[in-house]
Amino acid sequence: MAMEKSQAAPLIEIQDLTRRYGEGEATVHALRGISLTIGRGEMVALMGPSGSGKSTLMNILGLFDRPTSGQYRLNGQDMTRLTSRQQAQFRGRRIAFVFQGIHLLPRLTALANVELPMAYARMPASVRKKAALEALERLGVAHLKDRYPTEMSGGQAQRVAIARAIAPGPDLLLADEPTGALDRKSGELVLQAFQELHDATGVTILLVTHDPFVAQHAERIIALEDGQVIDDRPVADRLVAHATLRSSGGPS
Amino acid sequence: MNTFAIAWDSIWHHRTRSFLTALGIIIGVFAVVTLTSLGSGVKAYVNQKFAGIGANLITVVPALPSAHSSGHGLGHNGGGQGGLALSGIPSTLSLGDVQALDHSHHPVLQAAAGVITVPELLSKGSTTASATIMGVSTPYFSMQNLTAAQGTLKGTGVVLGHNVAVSLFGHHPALGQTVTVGTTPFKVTGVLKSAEGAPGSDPNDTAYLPLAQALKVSGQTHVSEIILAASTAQNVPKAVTVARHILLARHPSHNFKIITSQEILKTVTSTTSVITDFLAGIAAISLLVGGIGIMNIMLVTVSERFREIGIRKALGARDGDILVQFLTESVLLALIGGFVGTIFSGVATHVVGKLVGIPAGLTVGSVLTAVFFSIGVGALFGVLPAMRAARLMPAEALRTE
Ligand SMILES: Nc1ncnc2c1ncn2[C@@H]1O[C@H](COP(=O)(O)OP(=O)(O)O)[C@@H](O)[C@H]1O
Ligand SMILES: [Mg+2]
Repeated sequence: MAMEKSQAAPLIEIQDLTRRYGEGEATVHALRGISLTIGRGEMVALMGPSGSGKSTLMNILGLFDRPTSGQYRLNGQDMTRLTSRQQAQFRGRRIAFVFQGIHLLPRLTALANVELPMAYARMPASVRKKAALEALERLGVAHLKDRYPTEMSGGQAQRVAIARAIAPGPDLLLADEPTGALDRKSGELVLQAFQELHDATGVTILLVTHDPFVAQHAERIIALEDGQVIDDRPVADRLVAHATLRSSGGPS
Repeated sequence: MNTFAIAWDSIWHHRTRSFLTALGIIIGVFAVVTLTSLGSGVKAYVNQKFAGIGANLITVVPALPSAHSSGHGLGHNGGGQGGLALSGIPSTLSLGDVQALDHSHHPVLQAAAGVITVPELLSKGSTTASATIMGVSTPYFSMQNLTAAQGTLKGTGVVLGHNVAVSLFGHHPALGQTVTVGTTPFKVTGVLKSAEGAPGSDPNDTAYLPLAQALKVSGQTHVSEIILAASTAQNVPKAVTVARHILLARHPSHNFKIITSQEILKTVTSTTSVITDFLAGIAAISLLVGGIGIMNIMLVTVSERFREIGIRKALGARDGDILVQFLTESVLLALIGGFVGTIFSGVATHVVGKLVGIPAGLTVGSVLTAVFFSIGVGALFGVLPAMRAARLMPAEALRTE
């Protein structure tokens, strides 16, 4: 099944992507010419030491930042030429992002947080409420819908954040060290949630992690170092842990 | 949570800071609204006064020969001495002119009254009253809505204003007593009811002599001005034509000038307007300072909320959504300031109006001005910070952690 997906039409095509910060002496070459193709429905882990350019790459893929040079196509569409309004239409809806920290808006309830991207997409209130409740349900946090972020544990909040990311039905789910701020057990539940999502919906997932164990949950691992791809290969025997985790440590 | 709720939430969350920021607007709006309200109060007062006495009155004053545009002779108890009108032009208006106008028998021209000021002191024995002495022909009293409390206004003696009578005779009857104008004794033949005067004159503090007597006492040969009453306010222009015709026959050099109350009113009103607008303009500068305060605090708010802006943009907020969110906040802040400032202004205007005795209070116009200025200031000074927020790239906004 994994092989089938890799051979499907590419979702992401990037070519010679570079990103420099600063000028002159102080220039930082965060990305030094990256070329990658990621197929629709793949689950990819992005690894590499700190400062290797992982976040920079994710930011460009998420349209949070523009590359200094190079090509980025999503579904065959040139993403480097979008106006800021067009970018906004992709963000949150077609390309969803889960951050390292817990990026829920503190003064909104879980439900309102999950509805927000759909509200910005001007979807009707009834449609967005239904989609938001479904997503919360899928992540096992529907019972928290009226709570504020401060009234949840880190793991719960991160699952609400994932619900927010997937509720509009994105093509691409980007997660930059989504377990970085969580303890081991919460982290595992979050990872398991990603894996289940991927298996159930077939959404394309690109996941940044330091943890080789975490990476084993993916179908493919790409390694960056100093702004370049130094390794890119399929995972031989992917850890399929969710079935067992679900029965033992699933959300109550 | 809609845009308005977010804005209110943020303002309430930082209430001390919001209040201090709004204070600038409160003061600015207070100043502008108070000045414009008082200005329109003064205008209303002047209008009311002129409506009370003599929208139908016409004043003839001396002028340089055929000088149509020389100075105005406002008021009719001014210090015109020896037949000099206020403008300082030697008067050539005579008792004959007054009579010619008074006996015109033209239906639109009801009456004419000559007026001079007598530069003498009024006394009773060794007591001197601080009174203005005027010489007037009888119709003057009805033109000015002055009525007798005692005696008659048609007598040959002096008519005392209410305060003058009280200051010279206390509670004793003044009628029939003798007073001295300069060195000439006069019998008191009338006492006026207490009355309100036109702006700048107070009949209560005035003593009136019959015109012929006044001319004799002061050694003058000409009247300072002639007041005419048209039959109605609508007939004023016709009456002016008639009066000019009569006077031109007597003064071919056209050495007089005819002023209507309406013209005087217009002059006073437009002068008041200019002064009010000028003061309001100066007050608007404090609004400007308040606006700069808003801009300052909004810049702080934006940089404090980089992370929130980053998250919202990462979730698909358009630049316009962010712009509107922050503009709403600055406009709301300014509106709150405007609202409070208007309330304070309402109180202040009312109190000042009471103290000064003019009918001043908040007007629809002044409230609209406040709302308009508040929204304008909030939007104008909120735009720069809001644009700064709207233009942030999410990566940049989210980096500050
Ligand atoms: N906004 C920025 N300005 C300057 N340098 C930056 C900026 N963002 C990232 N960098 C630099 O780019 C390099 C790659 O950073 P990053 O993509 O965050 O790495 P990673 O996520 O792999 O740790 C680092 O050297 C970092 O210091
Ligand atoms: Mg990183």
